[in-house]
Amino acid sequence: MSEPPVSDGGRGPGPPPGLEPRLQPALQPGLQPGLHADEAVRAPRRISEVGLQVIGITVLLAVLVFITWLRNPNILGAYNLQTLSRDIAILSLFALGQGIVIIAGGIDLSVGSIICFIGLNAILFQTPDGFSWPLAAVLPLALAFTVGVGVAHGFLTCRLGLQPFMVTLCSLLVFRSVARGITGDYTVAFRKEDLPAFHWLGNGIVLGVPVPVWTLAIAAAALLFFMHFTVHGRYLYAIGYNLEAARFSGVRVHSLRVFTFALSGLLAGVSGLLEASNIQSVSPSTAGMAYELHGITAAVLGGCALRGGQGSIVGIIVGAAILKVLQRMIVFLGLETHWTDAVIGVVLLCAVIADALVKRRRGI
Amino acid sequence: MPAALGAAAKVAHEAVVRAARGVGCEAGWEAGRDAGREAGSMSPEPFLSVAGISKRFPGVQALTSVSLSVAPREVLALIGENGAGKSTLIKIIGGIYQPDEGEIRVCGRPATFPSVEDSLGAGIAIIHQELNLADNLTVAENIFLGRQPRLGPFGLRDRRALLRLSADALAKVGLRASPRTLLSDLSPGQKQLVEIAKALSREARLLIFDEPTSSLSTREAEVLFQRIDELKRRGLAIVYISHRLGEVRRLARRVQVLRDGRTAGFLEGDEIVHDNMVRLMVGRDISKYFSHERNLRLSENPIVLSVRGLKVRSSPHRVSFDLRAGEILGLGGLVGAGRTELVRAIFGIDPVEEGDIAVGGKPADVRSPRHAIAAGVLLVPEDRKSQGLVLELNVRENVGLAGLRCHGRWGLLDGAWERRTAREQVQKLRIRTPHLETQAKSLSGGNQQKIVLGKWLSMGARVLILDEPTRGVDVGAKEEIYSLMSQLAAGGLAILMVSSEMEELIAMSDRVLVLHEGKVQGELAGERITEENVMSLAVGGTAA
Repeated sequence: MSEPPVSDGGRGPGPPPGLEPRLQPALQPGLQPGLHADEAVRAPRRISEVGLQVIGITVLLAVLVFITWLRNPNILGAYNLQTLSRDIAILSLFALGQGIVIIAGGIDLSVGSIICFIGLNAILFQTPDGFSWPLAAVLPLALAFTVGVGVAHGFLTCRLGLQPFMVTLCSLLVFRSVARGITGDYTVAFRKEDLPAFHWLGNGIVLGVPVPVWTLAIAAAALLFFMHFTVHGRYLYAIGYNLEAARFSGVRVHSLRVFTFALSGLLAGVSGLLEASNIQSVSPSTAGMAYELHGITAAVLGGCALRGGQGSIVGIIVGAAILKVLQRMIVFLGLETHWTDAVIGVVLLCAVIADALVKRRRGI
Repeated sequence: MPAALGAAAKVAHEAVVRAARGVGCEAGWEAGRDAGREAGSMSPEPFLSVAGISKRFPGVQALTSVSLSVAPREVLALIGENGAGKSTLIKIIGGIYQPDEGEIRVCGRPATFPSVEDSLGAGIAIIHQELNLADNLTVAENIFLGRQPRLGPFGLRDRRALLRLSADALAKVGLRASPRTLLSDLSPGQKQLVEIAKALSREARLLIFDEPTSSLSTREAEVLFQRIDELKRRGLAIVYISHRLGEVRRLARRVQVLRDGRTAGFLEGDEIVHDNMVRLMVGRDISKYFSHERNLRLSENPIVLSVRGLKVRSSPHRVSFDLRAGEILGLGGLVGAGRTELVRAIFGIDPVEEGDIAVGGKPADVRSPRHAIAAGVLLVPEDRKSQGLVLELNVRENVGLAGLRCHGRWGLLDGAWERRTAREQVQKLRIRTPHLETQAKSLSGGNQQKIVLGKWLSMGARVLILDEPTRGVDVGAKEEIYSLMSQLAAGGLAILMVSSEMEELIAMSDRVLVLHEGKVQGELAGERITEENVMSLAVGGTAA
């Protein structure tokens, strides 16, 4: 161990001389234990809690897959694994954005409408019936637009002090309606032959793995690094727990919160493009419907607390996987799909209850 | 099942109430007042006595065989450092916790308090530090919250009865406010009286005050003391918990000191002096409580912080002062005099409307705390729990919170720096924590405050602003903070200290600036720093 050993109950080497004589006798070994060097390097408890959560939901995921597999082994077939993982990836992408907003103490409800709006316009701008723009122009433009929307959310929230719930709710309403308005509520679609590159984004397979899954892998790796290995990630957790204390410590709370909204916008944009490409059509009244709630569900299943400060990247992805597996399970078990949301609701409720019980048991 | 439980609880509750109203204790508190006047002596029969109470929490023995008794017409002061077990004991008496061992007697009869309602029913009311009142309701509605007088078969609100009953309750505590006033329009002191009125309207016969003056101004506190004296004369039993030993001397004839979950001793009458109390609380003698020696040769030191014509939004006045290296400048004044607003502006939390701030001779544009920190101006804020710390993060993360972004390349988390710094500060400041990964919220107030200090001391400070540095901090840690301040000043750091505690302000400051309604009312140095002078300036007068 590189640290100097401290064995005498925290009264380590080299205390300031003035403090020495008057401070020692107040210590009672049992009640006010000092800091021991060996204890100080022990693994952080918060991480182990997060770890526990992730392990818990991963086990849940495995159990769900196993149950389905018993009834219908096809769920682990190659084709199904590809489509399932693609669905999980598209959900995970925007759930990660929402999760990070939630970790920093905000909420983003605009996601579903943005996914619809951006997918729809991406098709309109590219198809021969539309503007015939090249993908190379549409892609950056679409993402820049969604980042802009996110920045606007962040600006209204931080600079004007509006509630993120209200701000993003307005976006939810506006973008959905505009999408329906500009198309006259008609579904837009494209043919694979017309836009092969765009089609590849959502349907392509590289090394046996769908392109959206690669996209998620890159995004998740970047976010994992950002949240857990940079100062900014740590500050986002601090902001989520206590914005005021972070501000009093010189943290750029506004910029960081704006950043989370921009990130959520960007990831929603990516998801929207992938989804539109995958399905090859966007129906303005139903595309992306209630996705914001699915994203929040995945984030909460994955350990995010809506009051902020808690959550992990891996957890959110596992949460998204549980959601999608549940949806598949309903189909594979031969139930009517109408029951899907009921099952998801019950599972989410059970997860939240289990979490509360574990926390109470551990006296947190 | 729940119904059966409810019935059982009700039976128990009634038994307790019967015990409380039974013979052996005076019938009512108004009657008790008359009896008290005639006899002029204390009743030997305690209203409440608890004996041999022990309580264990996971990992901590909070109380070990503690006994306490309090009689009508008596003020018992309960003191002890943070973590000594005061609040656990009070929560057991209040029915919030259940004791592992020990018995509770009300008027000599055994009682149990499975819930807060049972304790209230027995005539015990706790006035908590954070009041249980709703700001958006009227005074009357607050007093009768949950027990509003009803009228007719549909349970309509009986407004007239409500107003009449509340007016009575307010008269008992001497609060001259209409029952129709919205609670949010009252001052903290008045709110406290409403809380007392609420307790009295429930026929409380024992009032337990938990740090009641922590949010009151000196004047409001004096009003509260007078009311407590009066309640005592009327026959109430009172338990008074406070860190402020001056108040304890003022109010109590009997003091019980807790230390590490045990009773460390009792003091009565003339024994109730500062040194005795401190000795019992910390378990050792303290020759000199405050350690700071006033530095008289400061005029040779360079000016580190210079504030010229500073105007903040909340005040029409401009403030100017200089702070020299190695100096501790005390900022005195009543609560609401604009001291916190001033330091917030200097730290860049609130906008500076006009005026200039220079640090080390260079103008500093403090648009945000970031800019202030970059200039070397650091603030330990008034409200530790909401502004100083992220309670859910651990000791290491809190100590590193501010310095982290200045270390490590390209915004990478420098974990090694963070661990090293946290360990250094924990050792240097003697932060008593099981380990670095302990959540800040599980530590005592004094240790939390040391974490906030550690966070700043790990960075290059030129000016350290301390806003109420020892609020809610126990005596032992207080002393450590004072001695640290002395050391830092001796090392050349300039310290600006806002303090509402007169003893602290007078003992620790090399120079005192007193604010009154947002302007500098006067400056005191050397021998002129006296309680009388500070008070006189604080209320808008002049110093001798």
